[in-house]
Amino acid sequence: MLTLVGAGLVITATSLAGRLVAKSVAQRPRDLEVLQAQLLQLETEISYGLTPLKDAFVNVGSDRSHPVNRAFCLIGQLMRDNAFISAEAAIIEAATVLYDNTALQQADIDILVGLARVIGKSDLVEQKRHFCLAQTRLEGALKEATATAQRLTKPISYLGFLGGLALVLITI
Amino acid sequence: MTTHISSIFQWLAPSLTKHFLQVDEEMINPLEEIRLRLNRPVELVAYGKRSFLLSPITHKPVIFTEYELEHTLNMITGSSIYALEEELKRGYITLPGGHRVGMCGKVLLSAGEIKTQKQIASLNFRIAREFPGVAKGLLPYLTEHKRPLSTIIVSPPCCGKTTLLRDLIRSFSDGSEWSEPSSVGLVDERSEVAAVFRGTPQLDVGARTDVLDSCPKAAGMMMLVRSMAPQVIATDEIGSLEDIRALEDSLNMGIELLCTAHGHSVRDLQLRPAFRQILSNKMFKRIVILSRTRGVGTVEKILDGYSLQEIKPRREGLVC
Repeated sequence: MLTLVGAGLVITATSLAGRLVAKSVAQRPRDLEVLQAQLLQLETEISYGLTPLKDAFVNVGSDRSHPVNRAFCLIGQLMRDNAFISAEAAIIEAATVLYDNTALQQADIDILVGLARVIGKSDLVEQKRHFCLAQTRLEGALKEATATAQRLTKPISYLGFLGGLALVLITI
Repeated sequence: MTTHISSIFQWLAPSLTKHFLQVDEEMINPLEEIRLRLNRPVELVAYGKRSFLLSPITHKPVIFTEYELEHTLNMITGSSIYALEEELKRGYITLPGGHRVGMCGKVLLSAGEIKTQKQIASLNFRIAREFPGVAKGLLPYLTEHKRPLSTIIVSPPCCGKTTLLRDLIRSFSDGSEWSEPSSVGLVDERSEVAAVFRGTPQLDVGARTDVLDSCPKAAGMMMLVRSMAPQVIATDEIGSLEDIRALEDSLNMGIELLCTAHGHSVRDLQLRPAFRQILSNKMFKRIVILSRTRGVGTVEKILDGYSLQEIKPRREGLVC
């Protein structure tokens, strides 16, 4: 009886782990899409509104429904609260929050950090170019993430269950 | 005199501020300019004299580094250079408090006109100071029946004509024992008189003054006449024939004028075609001549605009 309970627990645990990993893989394209949309909105604030960067970040992140939005709002707040913090430092600080609260991978966040090094430091034409480059890189990451999600979400989910089952069979 | 020199330091990199905080207040308080040039010594200007900022430890000039430049630029632009293209094109930014930062870098041209600047390497912090009340002694001569008279202030550079103009604007706008409060329209082409920052004048130009900031004088005067119906129009450093035409149009609409011009004397003005027209048409009822013979803002003469006769004996002391 105890063996059966143990086996059930192992299978449940590995199945849940599999589903969590699969969920993360499936979530990454959605987070990337939100990041793309946020950057597009930020570019609009900069290009057409000529909004100062700290206000632009707060405006873009004002809809705090998604962790990416909240991270953008945080960048703006950090810059508003501390006059001595640069945009780059604020974005790097918010990048940690993004990594902890979204399915984005380090490579995805590095695109944002790369933009941080140049954002606000040049004229409009150059800013638009930097945003265009970041969007192109995000588009590439999105394609790769979507393909990965389509290819791996179900197998990873099954792998959790099957892995647990195999472990139980080997152990018994 | 009102200013808080320490308010300038918040815009500088902390490593630079550290040096300033160790310098005697007597040396810091009268500062007029702080000039920062990449990889060169920090220069201070006070009372028209120039010196380098010395490190209190090594007693050698403090060098302005690339990190300090980047930090200072981030601070004064709010990390948003893209939002300041007009200011970069003009070559300066106005900060809260009315201080101005002149900037020099690589100029980008488009169709032969300055588009913007890149690679900023020199900054000049020009510290704004106000001298409320400097015009008080002149008001009895520049008003009649409690109304301002059209006045032109003539002086060579750095003799305090903008400071005097600002105080006259404030006095006419707020009113005084010599004049009823008037609505004043100020065309501040170079943002020197009111130092507008995000729509708010940083220097006191009176409660009834409407400021048209960064606007060419001639176009601005006509715009003010149409939109704000001012009783007095004020502007700094007139000189072109276009300006004179706009002044004439304003006068024809019954508006009093308050202007400044570069020059040493009336004779000096008579040699310039635009001013010859002003004087012969008797557009101004008063002409105030400033110099710095006894310090900045010495009132040399106040002339009647019609007769060009002095209406007040030579005044001892300083105005501003």
